[in-house]
Amino acid sequence: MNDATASTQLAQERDDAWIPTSCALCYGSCSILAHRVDGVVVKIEGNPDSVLGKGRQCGKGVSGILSHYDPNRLKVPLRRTNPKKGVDEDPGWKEITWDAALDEIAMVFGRIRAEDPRKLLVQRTTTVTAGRNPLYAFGNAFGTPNYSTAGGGLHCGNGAHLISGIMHASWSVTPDFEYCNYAVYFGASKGHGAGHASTSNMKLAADARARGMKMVVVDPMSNFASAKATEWVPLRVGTDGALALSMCNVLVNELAIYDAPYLQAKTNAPYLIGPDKRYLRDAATNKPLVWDGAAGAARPYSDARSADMALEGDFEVNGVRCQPAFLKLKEHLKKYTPEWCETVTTVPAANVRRIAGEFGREARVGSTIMVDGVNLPYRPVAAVAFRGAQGHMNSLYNFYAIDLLNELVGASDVVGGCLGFNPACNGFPETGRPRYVPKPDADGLMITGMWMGYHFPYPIGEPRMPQNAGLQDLFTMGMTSPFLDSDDQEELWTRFELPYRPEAMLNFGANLLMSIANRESVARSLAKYKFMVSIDIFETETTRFADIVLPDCGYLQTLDSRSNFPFIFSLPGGMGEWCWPIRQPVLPPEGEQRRFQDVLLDLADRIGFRADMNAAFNASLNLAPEHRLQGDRRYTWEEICDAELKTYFGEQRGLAWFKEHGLIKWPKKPEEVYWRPFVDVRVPIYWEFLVPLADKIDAITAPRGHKVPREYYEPMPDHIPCPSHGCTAPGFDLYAFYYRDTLHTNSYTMENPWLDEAAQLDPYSYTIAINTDTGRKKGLQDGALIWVETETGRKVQGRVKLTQGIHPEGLGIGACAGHWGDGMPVAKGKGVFFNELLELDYEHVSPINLNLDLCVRVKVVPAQVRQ
Amino acid sequence: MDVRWDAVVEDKRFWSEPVRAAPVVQAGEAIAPLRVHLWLFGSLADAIAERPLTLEFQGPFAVDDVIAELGRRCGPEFLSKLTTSGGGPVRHCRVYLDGEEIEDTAATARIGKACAQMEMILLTAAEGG
Repeated sequence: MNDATASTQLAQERDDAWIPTSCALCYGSCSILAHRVDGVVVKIEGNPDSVLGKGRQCGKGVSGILSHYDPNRLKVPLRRTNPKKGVDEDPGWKEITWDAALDEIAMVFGRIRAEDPRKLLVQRTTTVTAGRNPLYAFGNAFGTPNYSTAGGGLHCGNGAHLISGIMHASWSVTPDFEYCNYAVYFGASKGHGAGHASTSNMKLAADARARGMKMVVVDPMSNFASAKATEWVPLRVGTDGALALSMCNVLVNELAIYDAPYLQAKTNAPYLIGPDKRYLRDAATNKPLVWDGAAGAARPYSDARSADMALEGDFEVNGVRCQPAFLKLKEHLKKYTPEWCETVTTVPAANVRRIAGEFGREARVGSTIMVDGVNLPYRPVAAVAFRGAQGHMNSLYNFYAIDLLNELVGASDVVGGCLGFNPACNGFPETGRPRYVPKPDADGLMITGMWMGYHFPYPIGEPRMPQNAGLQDLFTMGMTSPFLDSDDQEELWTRFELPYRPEAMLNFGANLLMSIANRESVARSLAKYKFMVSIDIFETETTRFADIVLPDCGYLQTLDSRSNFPFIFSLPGGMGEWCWPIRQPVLPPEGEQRRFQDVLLDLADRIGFRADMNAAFNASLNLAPEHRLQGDRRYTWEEICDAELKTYFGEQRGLAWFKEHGLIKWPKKPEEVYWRPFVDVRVPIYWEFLVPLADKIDAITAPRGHKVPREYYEPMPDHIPCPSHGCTAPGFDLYAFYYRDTLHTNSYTMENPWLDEAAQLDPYSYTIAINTDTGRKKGLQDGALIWVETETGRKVQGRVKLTQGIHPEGLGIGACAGHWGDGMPVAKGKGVFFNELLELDYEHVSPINLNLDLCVRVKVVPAQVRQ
Repeated sequence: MDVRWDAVVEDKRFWSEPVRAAPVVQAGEAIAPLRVHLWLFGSLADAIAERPLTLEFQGPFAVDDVIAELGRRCGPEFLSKLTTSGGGPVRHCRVYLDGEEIEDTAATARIGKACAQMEMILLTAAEGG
């Protein structure tokens, strides 16, 4: 054999493949191509065929190889030998077999299921979006109502996703980048390397800016979004809603810019409101009444032409004085003058007027545009918000006020406006699946067509004596609950008569000890569990509280028929294509690693609830009748994935087809993207339903010594200060907050050597940002070691980075850093653990949506002074 | 420029519900009594000793009738888990009749044979109370 022949043969025998799959370094789940050579992944690139990422990768995605090949990955099941649990306790791990591990788990879980399945908490990380369906199927089959998404869910969702759901029928919102001309970001990073559809949005946002879209970024810190903005508007931490309210006031009362036809046709603005803050209703149909100008009488909203519905005026109906909701709102907004706003936010009144005026004029109220042959409303402005405006006790009103900007000018799910992420889908053309579209309730208000949870954000659930340990079934505007870990959980459970106590936790990848609040509080709650199982890829600080640890496969080793949630989570909004990618194994498990999906199916079999598990998959995946899982048959995870893919894409496009192609896509239609003109639903600019909700909650809580604070349940938004705004202690002159570093995802990626190196090179990732002038007044220099202390004595240490890019009263800390455990040695000791500053009790939780307050008043002290 | 927002779009039929074919009723099958094999899963399963539970109806029935019958057999505590104070099923209850999801639980069940398979499960999740 000559050299050439040998070389050819070697090439033929070599494993050299580009495999289409999905990233999981963050919840964006971009589509990737993994290059495998001789069994080793040597490169990861974005998949140009996919809509998710469009061939792009962020730094996290590119560096995923190092997360996979990290020598600190868990490879064998572990059993705790030390019964004591605490932050400083050594678990005393011993290696055990899978059979021993699963037998013990099955025995404990089986006993709990027989006694009271509510005693199990299913906990997961948000980083791996695909984890939700198998885990929730397990929990639903098991019979527990208790789930949590740790800090990833608690810190981002209770305001942002709730309001996006109620107002835009989607998990999140984004400017319609292709057509938007003026976007106002309130603490949001849409198109800057983080968050939903991050890498897709990077190009869309960049192209929009190049086209001339003005981007105004309202944020205490000028970082990822502001750095690329047309204008940065620094404001006092936690006052986003106040600015939005004032801008609404300018639009409506000073400039008279609003989209009356939109408000009449697509909102509850014409609904008549009585002195009790409630709708006036038709006696026969119980439908809300409007004043029909053509008839000169009050009529059910469904019986009048929208153009005839009065938006203003004083009326009397059956002896009751009433006004349209729009007039109520207009009057309500008058107190939020730009001058008032300046005192609250520090944004100069003139700037408030200018930005509101620019927003209103750019909205081009009344205009239309043709898109793919369809004539549609054109409102090229958008006000969007996310984690910044979300991280406060007042998050619900913050988001409500910010979205009112869109609603007032009709820039809601129309061309150029504020879009939900794909709230309406007519399905894959050959199957008509998945098909979902918003629909009206009896009051004409919008119910989402698709939702990440099974409880839609509206209609609001009926409060009851709590059965959920998180109390979300009592405080029904709440999503992820802080009470699963709070200091006062036992007091709350006792007061509200929770009929059981959680005993066991099944944790999938969440490091809640770092991601929720101060570690002492979370550690106390974790230590209460009698039995904890952690499925993970690393031994995290939280894993060290587990009784049994199971080594999971990583994202390059696993299979998901839906690598993300279709399509309201991470598929970019706007025109383009629908796209459904899968995640498939590129590499085999290492050591004794097993896919968590297989582990859950195995446990269901051992405990004896496979039929329930099959039923839960049938329901949660909405499998077609011909592909439903039958009885208690032991399907493999591959078979379940195959059933889902065939349900949506036909018999010929099962798992084998997707493994070859990686994804499927088809064109969006204008009627899907800009669905609102085509669907007869309204959104609430006046949240009348909060009034009876407060009454119902109060009826349960007041007899138990807990009064509902009514100011959080008013039907129109207000500025409610956070506890940090009320701090008057001398020296506590800064508002500390954390921001999501685009280099990192939650607490996970600090272990990745490439990302860690990049973060060390970045002047901000691992430091404490303070305004230059403020810092100099305090005698601080760049690099100085300081303590950041709260009024209650919580403190963290870090090095100062002075910058003009932060509000003079702000103190910004990047990401969720500061690992202390030995299981992630690269991450250990890097960055600042901001969450250590956070209190975790009812006093720091929104009494309406259970949002944990993430801003805190602090003072800074040079570290050497204390030594 | 003052285009009526609600008059911009002409074709409102895009989102009209697709027409579903009525189940084919075999000769001699669509006669009373109608039998339902009811499968309760997850947190509902422990309410009954047997699975499936067989219910009989003398004529057309709705899912709400099935739930009412369940309430009679399993008691108010079970019913409170499954229904709101208005009487309908809680919003996270999923009901399937012969594999098809039933959204309007007050509507007459469309069954094509004298014995139908009905499944119920409560889906809960972190997102939402």
